[in-house]
Amino acid sequence: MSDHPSDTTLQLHADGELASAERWEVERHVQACPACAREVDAYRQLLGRASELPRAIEPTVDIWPEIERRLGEAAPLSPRRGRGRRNVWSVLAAAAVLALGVALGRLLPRPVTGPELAAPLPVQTPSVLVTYDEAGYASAIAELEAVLREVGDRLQPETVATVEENLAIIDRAIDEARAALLADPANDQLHRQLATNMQMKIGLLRMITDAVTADL
Amino acid sequence: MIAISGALLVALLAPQQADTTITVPAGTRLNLHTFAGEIVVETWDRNEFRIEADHGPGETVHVSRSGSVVEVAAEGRSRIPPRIDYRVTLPAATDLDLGGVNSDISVTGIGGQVQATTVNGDVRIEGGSGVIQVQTVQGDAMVTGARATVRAQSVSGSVLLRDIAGPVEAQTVSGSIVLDGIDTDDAEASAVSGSIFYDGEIRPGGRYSFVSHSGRTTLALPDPLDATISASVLSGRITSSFPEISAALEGSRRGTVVVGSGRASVEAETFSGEIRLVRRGEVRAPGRTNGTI
Repeated sequence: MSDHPSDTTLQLHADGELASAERWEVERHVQACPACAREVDAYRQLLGRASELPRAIEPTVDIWPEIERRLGEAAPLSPRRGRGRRNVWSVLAAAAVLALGVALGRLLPRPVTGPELAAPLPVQTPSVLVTYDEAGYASAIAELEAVLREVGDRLQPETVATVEENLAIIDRAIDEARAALLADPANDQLHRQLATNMQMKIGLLRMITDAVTADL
Repeated sequence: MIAISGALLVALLAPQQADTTITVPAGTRLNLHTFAGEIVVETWDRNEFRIEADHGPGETVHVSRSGSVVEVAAEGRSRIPPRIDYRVTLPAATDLDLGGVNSDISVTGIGGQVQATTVNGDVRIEGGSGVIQVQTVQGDAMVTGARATVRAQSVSGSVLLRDIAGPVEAQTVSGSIVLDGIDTDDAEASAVSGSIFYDGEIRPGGRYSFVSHSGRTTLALPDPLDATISASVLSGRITSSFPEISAALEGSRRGTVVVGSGRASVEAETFSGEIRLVRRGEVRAPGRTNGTI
């Protein structure tokens, strides 16, 4: 039924990130399509909520081990099938990506620009960390991994091996960025690296599960 | 030939090959998803979709039209998803939504929006003037000769965008990204362990962003250059054959330098990789010559 814009396109439209030609095309569609209009409204509400997230938190505890533990315990999906199931994780993934995009793309200090910026970055309180939507990220990853476990037998073993190998590469990159952030929590480059890699993991899982479930 | 009208569902039951041609109004979209097999899409100047399918005995190809969408699907006799090779010919202005699991996808000359995703296989798009989105997990994503907005992603394979006029966005985990012959004011590439190569225009007011965790990023930039260059590495290094960039950034972890009037923004970041900023022609992309990235 896909004469609608993709989820990604609607998200970009909601975030005002589309180029002008595509933006007007999508806007015309959204004005005539109540379903897509609802999607765009939902994304915009999510963006609004994400923008209200606290800009910083005190790093009292490292919650990542708990997230990893929960990922390992992720319960299998309820027996929903096909597109309906995809909608669930699409929303979760979109929520996590959007929250990350907002939290890390907007709330973080912008990249250093201008001739005067070869000077050292402004000093920030070393104990301050920018917040991440860790729960949303963990939920999206868990949901996507659960879908993948359900339909993974449709993939060739070498493809599964490739996926696992690349997820491990991303996880290592995430771990390295997290470790570096402990030493330099105000480093905006590290935050962007971390955000990029977290988004890439969600994107990878989403791509696979989307492709494998598309013809169920 | 089987005639199809309205939302009618038509089943093609030929034992080995299905071949149907349907007349479609302008703006009709094609949705074609398969589990395994090749998808080849070409164009002609008729208002018709021709769908040829090679399949096994007992497998059925369904072609249905509902409103402005033609959907192609298949089913087999067993629970094992069928392997079907499709060859589709349709008007150039058609929008496409193509998908496969173990499938190569090839599209030539489409001017509409193209979305093509496969898990295990290559995606090749030649030409095009709409919005092109390609994804593959274990394979290469290639778009050439398009005047379009292009978004391409491969997990372990290469992303090759060559001779593109329009915004480009590329992503890979462990493969390489080659953006070659790009004319745009909006380019973005990110990789985890893979390398990034960009050879293209840097337009005033344009934005060019490249992020890699541990791979090498090579930017072949025009000379004279008119851009604000921001580069940062955590444990890698920055090198440049532009004297002003080299003087400002080599040996440092991060910095910004204005070249010319600095009207374009070029940002490159890596965690532990290398960033090289060279003149166009000094290093050539794979496939162009014997040069390396």
